[in-house]
Parts: sequence; C-alpha cells; structure tokens
Amino acid sequence: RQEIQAELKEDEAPLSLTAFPRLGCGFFTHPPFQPDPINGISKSLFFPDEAINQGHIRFKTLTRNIRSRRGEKVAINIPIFKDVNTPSPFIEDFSHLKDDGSSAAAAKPDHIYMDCMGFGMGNCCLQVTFQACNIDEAKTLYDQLAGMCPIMLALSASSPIYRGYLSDIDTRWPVISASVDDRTEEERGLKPLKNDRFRIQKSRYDSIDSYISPLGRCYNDIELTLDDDLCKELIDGGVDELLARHIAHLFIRDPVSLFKEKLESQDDETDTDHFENIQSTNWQTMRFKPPPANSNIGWRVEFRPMEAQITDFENAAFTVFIVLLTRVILSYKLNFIIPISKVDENMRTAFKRDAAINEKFYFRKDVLTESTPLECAQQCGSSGGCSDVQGEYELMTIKEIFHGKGDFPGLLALINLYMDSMEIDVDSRCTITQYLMLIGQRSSGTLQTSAKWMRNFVLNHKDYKQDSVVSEPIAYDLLKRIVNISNGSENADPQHLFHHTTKSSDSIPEALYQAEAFLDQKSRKTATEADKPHQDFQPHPSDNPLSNGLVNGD
Amino acid sequence: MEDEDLFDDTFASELPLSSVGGKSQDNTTKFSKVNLSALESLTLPRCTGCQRQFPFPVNLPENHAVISLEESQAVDRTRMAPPPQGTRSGTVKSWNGSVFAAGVKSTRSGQVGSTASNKSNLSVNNHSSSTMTDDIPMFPKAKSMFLHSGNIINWNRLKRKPNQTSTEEVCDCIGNTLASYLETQDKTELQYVTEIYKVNSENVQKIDDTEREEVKITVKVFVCLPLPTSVISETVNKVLNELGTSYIETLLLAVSPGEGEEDDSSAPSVSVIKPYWEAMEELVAAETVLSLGVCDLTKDSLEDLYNWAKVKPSVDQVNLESCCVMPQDLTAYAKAVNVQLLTHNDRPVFIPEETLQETIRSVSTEADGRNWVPQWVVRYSGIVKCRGIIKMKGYIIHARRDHKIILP
Repeated sequence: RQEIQAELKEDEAPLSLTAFPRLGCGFFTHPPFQPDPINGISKSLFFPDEAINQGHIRFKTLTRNIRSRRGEKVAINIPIFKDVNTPSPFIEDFSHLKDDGSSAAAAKPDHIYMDCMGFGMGNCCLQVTFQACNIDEAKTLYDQLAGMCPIMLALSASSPIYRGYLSDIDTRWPVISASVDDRTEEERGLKPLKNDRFRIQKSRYDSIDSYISPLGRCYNDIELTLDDDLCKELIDGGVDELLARHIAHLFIRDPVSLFKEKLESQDDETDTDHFENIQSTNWQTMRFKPPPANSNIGWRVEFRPMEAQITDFENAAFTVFIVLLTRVILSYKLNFIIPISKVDENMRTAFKRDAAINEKFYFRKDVLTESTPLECAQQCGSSGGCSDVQGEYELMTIKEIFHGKGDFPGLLALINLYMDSMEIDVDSRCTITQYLMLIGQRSSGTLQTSAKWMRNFVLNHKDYKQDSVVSEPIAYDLLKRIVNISNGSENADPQHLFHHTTKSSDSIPEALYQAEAFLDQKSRKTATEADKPHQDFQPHPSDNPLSNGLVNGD
Repeated sequence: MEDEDLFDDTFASELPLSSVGGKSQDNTTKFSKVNLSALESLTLPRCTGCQRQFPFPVNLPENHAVISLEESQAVDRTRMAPPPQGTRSGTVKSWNGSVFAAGVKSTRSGQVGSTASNKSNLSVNNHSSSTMTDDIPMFPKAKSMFLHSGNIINWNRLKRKPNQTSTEEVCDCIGNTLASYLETQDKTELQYVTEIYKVNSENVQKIDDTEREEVKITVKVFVCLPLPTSVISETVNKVLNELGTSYIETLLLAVSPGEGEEDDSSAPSVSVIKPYWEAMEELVAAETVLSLGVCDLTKDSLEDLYNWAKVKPSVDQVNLESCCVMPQDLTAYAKAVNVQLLTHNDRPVFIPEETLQETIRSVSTEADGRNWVPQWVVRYSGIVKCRGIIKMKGYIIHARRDHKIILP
C-alpha cells in the first residue's frame, strides 16, 4: 500500500475495495471518457473502452470475444434494494444512452442492469493459493475447501452497491458470473442445440461442478457436461477418472483469447500454455493447478471466493484463517464434503443481503472422520455404490459453523486446538489471536460484515433519499471514509472493526530463524551418525550456537 | 488399631486370597501370615458381593450378604482355579463393583449350584446396585501407574471437545488409557497388581527413518513435584522408545510453581531447575536431544539460568495469555540472547491431584481413585517441518500413591 501511495498524487489513494460503487455512472473515470455503444469493443451503454485495462491486450480481447461469441452483450441483472422511495417497478430509461433497444429488452424490472465484462472483472477479490506436497494432498484440499467457498463468501461480503444503486445482494459473485458469460442462446437452453455441442448450465465464472479426490466421489451429484472424447483420452493416458472428468468439463469451453503465434509453434512437451488458456478462463470458486512445465512449484490449489476487505488487517485475517484451516484439515484429517449440489445451493444463499447473519448453509454434521481419508477412499473406491449421504449434513448458521453447535466444535475451536500444539512465537500468536477474534466476531454477528457497514453508511447518509440511489456525494463520502480508515488516519466504526495492534513484521524473529537453522544442521548430522558410538560426552562450545552466535558452521 | 482396617497391606501380599487380618476377641492380637489351611479352619463367612471375609458375626458392615462356611470355602476353591471359559463374558463394560460381582456370580452358579440368595439376607444384586462408595476397588494394591496415550491426533473423541484445556486433554487420555487397561486385565490378577503399565499400542505411531528428517519432535516434561534428576533421561528414553527414534529436536522443562524462594508463586525457581538442567545437558552431549528450553521464566530467572548454563536455553515457553502484553524486559533480553519466546496453553499446575484422582475414579471406583499423586507428565509432538502439519501428539503420565490402602 505504501509503495503504491508513493507513486500517486496527493488526492489519489489505493483502495482494496471489492466493487467501486459508481462504476458505470456518468463520467466515473479520470480523465473522463464517453462509452461507445455503437462501435466500441464492449458496446456497453455505461462503460467506456478506455476503462478496460490497457496494460495487456488480453482484457480487450476477452471483452470483445465474449460478447461476440455470446452473440449479444452480456446481461447482468442484479436485484435492486427496495427502499420506501424506490420506484416500483424499478425500470430505467436507456434511450438517452444510445441504446438500440437491446438493453431495454435485456434489463429486467426491479434489477440493476449492467452490460459488459468490465462490471464484473473490474471488481476485485481476495484469492489465496496453497502449495500442496503432492497431487493427492492437492486434490484433498480442493475438495475440502470447496464446501467452505459459499461460507467464506458470505462472511467476507463487502459489495452491496452497483452502478450507483444499493442492491439486494452483498457480494460480487453473481455480477462477475454474468459479466463473462459467453454462452450462446443454444448453450443457455433458450434455443434447441444446432450449432453448439452442449447445453451448459453455468457461466464460465461460477462455482465448481465436481469433486476430484476419492473421498468426494460419492458426492458428485451434478450432471457433468463434458467432452467425452477428451475424457476418454485422459483416462487412456493414465489420468484417474475423477480428474479426467474434471478436466474434460473445463474443456467444453472455447478459448476466448489466443495468441496467433502460439498456435503452431508450441511444443506441448515443454509448454503448458494451451492447457493454461482454458484452465485460466474457467473462473471457478476453487482452482486445481498442476505445475507448469519445467517448474518445481508443485501442485497448488487456489481458493477464490473471498471478497476484499477495506483494511489490510481484515484481508490478512481472512487469509490467515483459511491457511490455518487447511493446516487443521490436513493435521486432523477432517472431512467437510457434502453433495456438490448442496454447495451450489449454498452459493445462491451466500450472496443474499445479510446472508452472514440471516441465512443458513448446508454443512457436514460430523467433520471428524474415524478413519484416514485413504481408508475412506479405499472403501468408497472399491464398492461400486455409495451409501446414503442425505443424513450427513444439515442447515447451520454462520455462527454455528464457526462457534460450534452440539457435538460440532466449530471451526474456531478446531483452529485453537491446532495452534496449542504448534510452536508459535509470542508476536505471531498475538497477531493471529486478533485475526481470529475478527473472524469470530464477524461470524457471530457482533461485528457487521463490510457489506452491511457500507449499506448502513449509505442508509444513514444525510443526502440519501431512501430511493436506493448512491449519488456522487454519498459515494465520495463513503470512499473518503474508507481511505481514512485504511490508511489509519481515522478509526473504523466499532460495529464493523475493532482497534487492532498486530505485531506483523517482515521477517520471523531472529531467534527462531537461528534455532531452525541449528536444528536442521544438527539433525542431518545426527541422522547420518546415528550408528556411530558416542565417545565424547562433553558439550562442545560449537554445538551451541547461542553461546557464540555461530550458525551453520559459518 | 483401626477397627475398619480389616485388610492389612502387610498380609495381603502373602496370601493368594483376600487376606484375613482379623482381631481376636480381646482386640489385642492380629493374625499374622495366615495361610490357606489356617483360613479353612476358621469359621469365616464371606460377602457374596465383594468377597471379603469377616469375623462372624461381629462387625458386619451393612449390605454385605452372609453365606455359610461351606459355600464360602466352595467359592475359595473356585476362585483359586482359573475360571471356566465363558464366565467372563459380559463383564468388561462397566467399571463399578457390580462387574466383579456379576463375574463371580456366574462363576458360582456354574460351580456351586445354589446361589447366595438362599442363605443370605441380601441378594447379590442388592450389593452390586449399591453406591460406588461401597464398590470394592479394582486395583487396591497398585501404587504406581504409567500410562502412554499413543498418538492422539486422530482420536475422534478429543477433537470433539477442542475447547478443553490441555489439562482436560491429558486427563481424557488418562481416563481412556486406564479404562482400556482395565478392560483387558484379569479381574483377579488386577487385585494384586502393584504397578499399572499401559501403552495404547494400537495408537502408538513410530516414525520410520525416511520420515524422521521431515519431522520436528518437541518434548515437554512437566515435573509435578521434586523428583530425582534421573526423571529427565527416564522420560526422554520413554519417548524415544515409543516413537522409535534416537533423538528429539527440543526438550522443554516445566517445573511445578511455588517451590523455592520465588516471590512470584507462579514462576518456577531457577535453583529448582538447575539440577534437572544438568541432566538435560548430558542428553545434549549424548546427542539424544538437540536443543533445550525452559518454561514460564521471568527475565531475571532466564538471565540467571542463561548465564549459568553450559547448554543455553533456546526457548522460554510462556503462557499465551500474556502474548500481547509481554514484559518489555523479557522480550528485549530474549532478543538480545536469541532465546525464542514461544507460547503454550498449559496451567501452572498441569494436573492437580484432585483432578487426577477424579479421573481415575471415573473409570474405576472411589477407592481406586484415592491418594494418587502425579509425578511427571510428558507431552511429545511431532510437526512436519515447512508444512505446519501436526503428525503426532501424545502423553505419557506417571503417578504414584504411597499411602496404605484404606477401604470403606
């Protein structure tokens, strides 16, 4: 944040905001530009082409290709928040924006209408990538975290305002999902299939459709649209069935951005660009990332649903929480898997207004497995059929999921149990304790989600006319407040965020670093000398780095 | 002489049966070293419930059924012989005296024919449904116990109660391990056991050589009362054996608070620590332990220890409740001498006596729980380096009781 601020002018500030509240309203850019619905790339009524990221040709290309593949502009319709003075039905008049009638037809009454990729991909979020030690651990993490996606989305909600209106949702998810929806009418089921191969249920930006670890096999209850030939090719090539189906499902999509030079010249033995092309334009809640060619970065899993919060502390808290959760899952071999159709239902619940306090989510009743995932997997894999899974999950509130219900201890208790068994230095423990306190208070409702805080800011603003309109003055005041909170010059509202004093620093304490290095060196030496008889029982000064500050024999 | 002390320890070890330390009618003499033949010559009835013999008819405690000598002798013979197959089935589930009674009852009915109820005023069932206070102890002679929990990371039960303190966690292990031990022991032999030793072997997880380099093992020894310094090597060796390794990375010492001259009763005294520390230094010299640490020391105590020690402490593990309000002098000093300040969540008195006794009581009987005092507790944990995953965690507990067994 400081680095960016150093490059900016005095009246400019970097914000970690999920959605800019007046994106698409009048002249919202600086310098100002006019949208070009007739000749522009996106043909949006609201979003000028100049606002599309100029840094790489990819973004303009994606925008154009998505629109042209779809055969029409994308149509994003988000329910508007009905306040006492909001027109009912809420219908906007686009005629003065050079609409040729298609937008008026695409816009739904009582909805906020948006019409290009920029409205979705111009948002921002918090994505966390984990490295796994092998492919099995990667598959396990992918499946186990999948169920957490809707829950973390609801908890981190921070985007209730779109194109200058208060909406009835709290998260960006449905907006982005619709903003890159390149499915044709046939694929969307509006017309019978003639030119297109598949009827596709979801946009390319949406939640995952299948589990890929053995433990998840019995919970794939969504019919997976996939390319059968590709699937067979993968299976014949030695890829296991679940993963083959997952990849074949990703590959029902056409590429929406290609470099001509790469088409012929690429060697698939050394270059994974073609795979990455389709892989990176399937924007899902989780992403399973095989290592690229010629890299030892390993198998990774990306957790993608969380919304960005306005302060660094909050973003760190959410990130650290999910990292700790992965450690807990792997240490205690927990199982959060529920039928994938239920995860999808949870997603639809998650973006509702105030979902974190008002809604319930399907959650596994018993996350503590008796046997190891491997044993379960063998059981699941060997028998053809799957036992009845209906009784394994139930509806729980966010508060119950984090703080416990009955026999279920709650995620926070499990994390605390884990931390008591780890060797954590005092500063880290202090910091993590505060992060977990934030998560705990947001999940119990003691603190408001960021979305609720923003919504209340608008509702209580002196200029607000109870008509769901977030005018420029209101938006300006909101953003000014966010700038001041995030740079520390003002305190946050106590209902939203408490005063924190974390001990984060750029590096771990020197003592830890030295101890770690010493132990590494000693254990390697001891392991190789384990068979040699020990003659000398006197402690050597050089064995103890702390007496003379030497480490690693330097 | 104590009236109620019908079972005298000194006799018990001599006899294959429950002993008869009686008083003669004039209350001045005691029998000594009564053998079986001498026993048979006495007209002593036996309670069908707890199988004690009493001088008849004097001093018969309530709820004890009375049987005739013939039946009593028949029972004796039965108890001497190994029980027939099948008579012990169904006895393992409950932990009060009724188990014992049920076992014996089925034995008796198989061997003798008539039941006690014909002759007695009170039936066996009456006795077995009496309160736990009256249940006869399962291991009255036991004076020492060693319990190894094995790797508890995958114990479902413990994960269900993650709000529990580490004290509750270790007591859970004690209860489980002891219960598991009692389940598998011969009830008769249990009466004579002087040392309970149970390793939950099905949970014990050894580290194989390929894994060893990836794992960092830390052992924390809680010394509950003043013990000889050999406790250090004893406990470490137990862990090494259980895990199947020749060395551990870190050994932490926690001594019980309030011993010695410290004003702050919650901080341990350095003079108490030093003898143990010397024993720990020997382990470092032998390379069975790679680094040492101490717990809950203030800056002055830490400095004292640090300056004196040959092998310097690399860790001072402090209670996490102070992690955001660490004393400045301690953090500054630790930084200066490169001592890691790590956190723990353990009570100063790790297992209070009453808690231990309550735990033992909950899986056995009131009498069995009495007088036990924790000697030391070891917690070991193995963390996969660089990945932050807990591979194993377990407890080894040693408790003793040295008092005479007092029965109701």
